[in-house]
Amino acid sequence: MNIALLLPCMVNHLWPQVGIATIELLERLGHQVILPLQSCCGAPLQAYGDQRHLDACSQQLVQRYGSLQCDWVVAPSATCLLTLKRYCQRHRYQQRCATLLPKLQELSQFLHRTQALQERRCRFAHRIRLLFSCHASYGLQEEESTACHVGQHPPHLLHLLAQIEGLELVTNHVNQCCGVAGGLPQQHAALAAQMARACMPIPSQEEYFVGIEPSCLLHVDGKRQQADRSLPSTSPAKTIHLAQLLNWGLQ
Amino acid sequence: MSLVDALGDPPKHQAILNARRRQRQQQHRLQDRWDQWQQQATAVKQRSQMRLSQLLVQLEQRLQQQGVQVHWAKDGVEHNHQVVSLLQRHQCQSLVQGASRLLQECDLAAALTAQNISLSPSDMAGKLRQSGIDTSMNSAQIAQQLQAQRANSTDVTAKPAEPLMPCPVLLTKTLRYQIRQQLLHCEAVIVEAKWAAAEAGALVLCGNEGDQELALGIAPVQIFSLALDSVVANLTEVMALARVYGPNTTGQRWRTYHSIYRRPRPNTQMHLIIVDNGRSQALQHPNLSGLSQCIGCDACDLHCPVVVASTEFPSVHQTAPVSAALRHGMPLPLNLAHDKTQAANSSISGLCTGCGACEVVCPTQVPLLRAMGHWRHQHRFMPSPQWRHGMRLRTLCASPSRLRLAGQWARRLRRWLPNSALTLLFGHWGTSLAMQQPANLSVEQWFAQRQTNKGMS
Repeated sequence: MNIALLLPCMVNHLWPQVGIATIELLERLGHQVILPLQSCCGAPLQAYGDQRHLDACSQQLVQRYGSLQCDWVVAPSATCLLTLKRYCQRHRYQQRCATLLPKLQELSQFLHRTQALQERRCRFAHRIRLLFSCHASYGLQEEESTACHVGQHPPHLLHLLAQIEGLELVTNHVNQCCGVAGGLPQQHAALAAQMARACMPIPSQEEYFVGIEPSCLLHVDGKRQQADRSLPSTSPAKTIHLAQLLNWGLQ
Repeated sequence: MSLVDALGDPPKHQAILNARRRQRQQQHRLQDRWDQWQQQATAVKQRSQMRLSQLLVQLEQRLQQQGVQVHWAKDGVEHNHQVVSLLQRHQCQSLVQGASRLLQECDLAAALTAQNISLSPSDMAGKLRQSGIDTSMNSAQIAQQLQAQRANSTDVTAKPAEPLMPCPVLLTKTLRYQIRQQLLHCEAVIVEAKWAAAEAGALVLCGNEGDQELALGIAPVQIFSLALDSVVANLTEVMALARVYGPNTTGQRWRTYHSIYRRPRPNTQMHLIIVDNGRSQALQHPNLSGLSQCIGCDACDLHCPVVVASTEFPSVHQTAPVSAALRHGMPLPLNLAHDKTQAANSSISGLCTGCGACEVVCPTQVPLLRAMGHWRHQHRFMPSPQWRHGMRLRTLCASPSRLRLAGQWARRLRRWLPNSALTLLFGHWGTSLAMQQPANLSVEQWFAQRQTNKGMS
């Protein structure tokens, strides 16, 4: 299948390892990856009430991705995808939005939908702790048949992880927002830090912290490692995106 | 861990609050038909919203037939004026007030103070607030403050023989005794009708303490205030709302008291004031019309991660972003008791992370994030650190070439500068970025390079 990749700016410019892992993973699964010119979806502007510029950013993406010959548009970030999806839903009477809307998929959603791990052996024999993603759990669950409750991971993500051999998933006691979105770290840095620390136990015995939202991962990882430096006896766990985990697991 | 053990310890107290949240979530899961109930409640509110004018007329006619005097108020000021004139007409010098968000919204307490009419709250939280005690504190702190107030009091009779115990049960008993003593002699009472059924001509109250119901049974003048958008067609629809209200407010299956009032008691007066206060305008607004679906269960506040995390930030706790958006989301400048300055509003709107937990728990599917977006849009030009950051972001996000250039410089700086400088440059991202391996190329550059290499080979 032809897959157009939509990358978050953070991943494209500052954490390219996740983007590269996503491309390699999709190619490993036999798909053809298209990477058009990347631009911002406008999600950060939402926090500042800048609806006009937000719409302009989303419109740019709709024009670019709407004209592509592809089967799916996949993003390794639920936030960016949700922003674009909401724009398309508001303008669904437009031809390009109507065409693009059913193609938009978050990476884990896409892998679950295409049953990517059904006939492939994926092995990752480590203890992991899954970081909660609000936008994937609450925002992208609208069309799912199962109702989502507060603090529950998306069922498709848990199903996907269950298909990985040797993986030991540690349950998190606090599944809530990490406090990175909405301009909170800029205005209430202490509060955002407290929310991030609440998401991950310190010290922890896990080898990997895994998530599907790059910005949440970076935010929580920063705060966790800050705290870890004051606790030198603990072994710092690696923070990775689901795409990296699956890419390593399929090798 | 018992509740009494936890009282002196804020983290333990917070743990108990978290347990209450879980209890409420469990209540949702226990109810097999919760999703169905949620949809029914939403449908009831949407249906009522569509034929609101018809329902209001029907309600007025039915209540007037039953001997209730119906009044209309376009805003809080008019509502307060009507309450004062009713009290003056009946020569009442004091008023008992039930717990009510609507009366707080109208700032009735200030209007009565200006007219030298004494106001006694019938609920315990109101009683504490009237004594100048912060109700967001735990029971131990509340008992401590009450104790200090009594020690400073010159009235010897007010001092109890035994010190107040920081036990919620004893504290509740003491306060309830004081409140009920006042209720015995009340001249007039004002309560908020939670819902009204137009066909039956019935006003419904919903609560746990039962004190306002007691006051209504004693006072010769009973005044009901009703928000314009709280009218539904019949009592079956009221039950559809009450069914989701109880589990969502306190995790109870049902609230303890559901009382229906249709006509005044013999030789007493019953008045109803229907308050608009910007609701009819909000109903016509595309982003705010959904707010009238709110049944005031406060589930959004309790599950807001900002509120959950803000135990050390009492000011934040007092201004939960979602409920603030609900209260301030109206297009008219409302006369609010807790009115904030424009800058403070802008600051509160910056607290929402847009996670969507509030929309998930909402029993009537109020589009809260849309209202929050609208509220933020209204405050987008407020000069604040957040606004300046927004301006920088706007410059970057609007142009892909500028964003690419900034990314390129960010990657270079990461290689050259020490980690501490990264924190200064990238703000809160700096700490996290410092921990990751520095990259030379963006994904776009890596992809283009790979495609070129493939073509060459």
